[in-house]
Amino acid sequence: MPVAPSLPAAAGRSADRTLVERHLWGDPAAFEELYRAHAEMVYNLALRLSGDPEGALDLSQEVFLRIHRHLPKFRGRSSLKTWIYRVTVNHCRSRLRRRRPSTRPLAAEEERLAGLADPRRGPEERALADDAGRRLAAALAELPAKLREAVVLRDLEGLEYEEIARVLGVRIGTVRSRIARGRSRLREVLGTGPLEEEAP
Amino acid sequence: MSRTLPFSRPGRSPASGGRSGRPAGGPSGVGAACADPELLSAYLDGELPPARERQVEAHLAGCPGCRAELDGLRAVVDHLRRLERAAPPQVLGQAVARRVALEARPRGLVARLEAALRRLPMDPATLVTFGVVVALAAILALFVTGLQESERRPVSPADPETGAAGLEVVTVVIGGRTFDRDGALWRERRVGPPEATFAAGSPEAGAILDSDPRLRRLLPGAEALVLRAPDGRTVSIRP
Repeated sequence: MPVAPSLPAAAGRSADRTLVERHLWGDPAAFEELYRAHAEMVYNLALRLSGDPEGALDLSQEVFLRIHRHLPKFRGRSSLKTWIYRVTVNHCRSRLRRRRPSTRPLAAEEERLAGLADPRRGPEERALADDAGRRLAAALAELPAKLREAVVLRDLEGLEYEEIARVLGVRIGTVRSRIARGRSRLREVLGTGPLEEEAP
Repeated sequence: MSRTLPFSRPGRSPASGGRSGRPAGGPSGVGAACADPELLSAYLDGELPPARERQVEAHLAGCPGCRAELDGLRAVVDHLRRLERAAPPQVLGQAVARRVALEARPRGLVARLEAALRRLPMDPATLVTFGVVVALAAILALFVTGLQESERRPVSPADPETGAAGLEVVTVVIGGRTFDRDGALWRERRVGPPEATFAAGSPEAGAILDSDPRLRRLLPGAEALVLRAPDGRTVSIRP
């Protein structure tokens, strides 16, 4: 039996449709609102999927152009946010397919971001965390694309498995598997890997 | 404590601890994890069904190896969540604004109709009906374009495109604009709202349409027919 959407979800979908219709009727403020609401998400997703801050800038710009062009096709079957995630992932995937992500520019970006980190943490703690963060960011950029997408959407963007499945166009079981395999590879980098078996 | 393993990795069990048959791990004798890492990962995310989650919790209570595995996963996730989020550079917003300003925004009767259609329930009958409406709007848009072009060149009163062969005077309303035939040309004019509007299927419209067979030929291609009585009053018939 179909379940009626919750009130917040229904209200969110209604707001999505209003924004899209305003855009279709030529209201320039509508697309500005959409940009402000999703720019951080798109940029950070492009950054983590590409591993390259400069590349992320170009990718983000292209994503928003695609959103602008294809917004008339948005049918409201998913939320606007899910649709934008899907556009971003698909575009990054197709652009990055031929290119191996560079880790050096991302390490520099992590240095910059580390400088903005929580000042309440002690210097030794921060240094250890910063180093782990840099290694982890670099390792994330080296993961196979499918595992990286799943881990980023779950652990950096905080999406539920069901939403990740809709974004990636795969089953929930596949999402579960990719997240687990991605995390397992990252553990090895952090040195929190699985316990070794004794040789027979 | 549960020693049953409904979710163990293939070929492993806590009793064997691995291929060697002895508990693996360090001096503490902690056993290797026996649970499927995928299951532990999903458990960490709260994405297991309740019954499955309870099974995992019961197993974890008695399996140090799996607890260590879970702690390792948790550490990875904690580090990932602490990666800083970057604010989008200001130049991104500026570049996007510049590029979208160059893009043609969706406009026009067809795009607006499509937006309005998306508000309607999408049952098949509605879909078919309004698909016809959208197609008709597209045809009307093309017709208007044709009329605009016809203003720049002479058009024969017997022009087959307009279906107005043989008529002396015809007024057609399309897309909110009114065109009068004036000899060889169509001229747009402003006309006020009609005194009455009838649907094509109504008895009043039927009486008017039956008075002149040429009117029925014009109706399918028009948004409305506006007819002027000798005393100046106007009525409108909409398909």
